[in-house]
Amino acid sequence: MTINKGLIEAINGPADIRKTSKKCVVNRRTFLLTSGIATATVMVAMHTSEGLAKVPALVATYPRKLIGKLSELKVDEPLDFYYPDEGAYSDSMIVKLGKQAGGGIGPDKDVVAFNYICTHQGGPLHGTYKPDDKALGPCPLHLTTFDLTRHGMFISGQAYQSLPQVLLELEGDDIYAVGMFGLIYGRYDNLKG
Amino acid sequence: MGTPYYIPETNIPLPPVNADIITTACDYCIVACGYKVYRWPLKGGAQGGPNADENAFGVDFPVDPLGAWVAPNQYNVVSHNNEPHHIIVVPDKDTSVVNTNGDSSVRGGAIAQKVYNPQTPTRDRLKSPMIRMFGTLMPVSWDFALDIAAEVGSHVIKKHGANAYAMKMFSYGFMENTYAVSKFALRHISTANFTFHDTPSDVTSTPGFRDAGFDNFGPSYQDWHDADTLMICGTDPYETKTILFTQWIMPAIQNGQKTIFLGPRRTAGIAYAEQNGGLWIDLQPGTDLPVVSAIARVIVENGWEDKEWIKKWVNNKFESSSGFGQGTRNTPWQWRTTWGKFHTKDYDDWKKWLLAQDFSDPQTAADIAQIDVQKSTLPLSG
Ligand code: SF4
Ligand code: FES
Repeated sequence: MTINKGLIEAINGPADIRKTSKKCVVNRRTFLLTSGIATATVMVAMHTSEGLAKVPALVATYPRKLIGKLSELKVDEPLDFYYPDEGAYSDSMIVKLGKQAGGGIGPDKDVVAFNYICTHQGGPLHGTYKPDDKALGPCPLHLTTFDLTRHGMFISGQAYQSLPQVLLELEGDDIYAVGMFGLIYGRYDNLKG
Repeated sequence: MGTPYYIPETNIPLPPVNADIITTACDYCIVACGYKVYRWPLKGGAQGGPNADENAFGVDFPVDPLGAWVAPNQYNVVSHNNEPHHIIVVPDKDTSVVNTNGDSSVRGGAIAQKVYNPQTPTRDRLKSPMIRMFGTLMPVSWDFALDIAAEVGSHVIKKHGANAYAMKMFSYGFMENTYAVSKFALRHISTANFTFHDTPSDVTSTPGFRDAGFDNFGPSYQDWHDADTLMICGTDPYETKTILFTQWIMPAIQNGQKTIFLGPRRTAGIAYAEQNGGLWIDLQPGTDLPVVSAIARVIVENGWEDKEWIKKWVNNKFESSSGFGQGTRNTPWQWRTTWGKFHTKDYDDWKKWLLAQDFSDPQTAADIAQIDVQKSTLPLSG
């Protein structure tokens, strides 16, 4: 099987981040590329540095929701929205990081969106955005901090998973939420509750 | 095998009401958090539902914060009695000690991931002993490998003596293993060349502390919590003993415990303590000794030590040498001869010694550690 570079970038973050990354990230990348978890997937289009790449994701049944306009986002000023529904733990945020990020959209590939609920034991991460580190956290319960440039992987802490990332699509100036990477805290299925 | 890419999962199967529930403990660190394993067969396709009466947790989904949530990392499929089984390994929400309320670190939180499953990266796990034959490592039976190990061992002991048979073991491999390995080395091989865990030879890693009459594993988690002041050297328990920090020390800091960290990096636990009235002494690696000595010196010069406590609990020379304070089974005199070998006679003699050391002078210590000298006196005047 040939490996699509755009796809690797979409999953692991931009090449320049990987190049400068510390060992822990290299390890994670190795992990990402070797953990053969069998999953039924569909292919969705996702913007990457190589244009539009087909990315396997469990997104087919997710609602496509307009969440804002690219031109209205200001660097380091997160906006809140709900996704994939308005039920428990659907609180999410979108932010223009001013720094290229894994899964980032827009001309600078720096617009990303994440669920707000800590994937340790459900602590609220609302209002914890740290512009200097492009991070969410520390969580008020047990201090986990998440890196928004690297798919919500944690920097330090206790969380059991990366923070779920909301997959975004850009259509003209409109930003749509179209799917999620990772299980939302509290739920057993993102779409069932 | 499925796709080589990692697609973060977005759902997990819930354990049905009749799933097996096994209690266990985390084996990653000495904090020893309690865990529960939920196990049920793939055969039959049983699965729990989101209502409390439909799953083994007895809770409604979505669960509350601190609830019985299952992260995808806490789920796996294993072989049990030669049949594939679902397992979910989560911190035990019913614990009243250690990881109270079912908290856990990321290490313990992901125990399910290390359980053997040939579909996951655990597929490369060593499943039998390997012996290099004709230049290639080949799997062999345990009997074959043990026969060879025994023959080589016997040869070495016969030719070079028992002390040529060195053994190193790791103390946290559970009691049964620790007991068997110690007995093998000390009773059957009879080698002095044996040690455990973190030490290069069979001694305590904190001899001064032990000789003064304290067991370094003495304090209970409640003691860590109840201390008015906690001084932590060279580590951040938030990273290394996570639950000891988040369940016991962190609430104490919130209640006004003064926590002093000596360490070169401002890690998350240190940053938290600093923001909540604690102190970080940002010394150069390996310079703790002069800094701690300087702090002790400031204390004794000002007479701030707890004299009554020292009189009651700190060994004098005779008590140390004869093992007083620790019972007879675990006393230094059983492991090494200390008669006449102690550096100082008792507390007063130690004080004299301390004051005579140039590195215990605060300015000198601060220069060595490259810190602001005010830092080592700050917590004491506060
Ligand atoms: S603190 Fe973490 S590694 Fe240590 S026993 Fe608890 S869960 Fe396991
Ligand atoms: S709930 Fe966020 S760190 Fe525990």
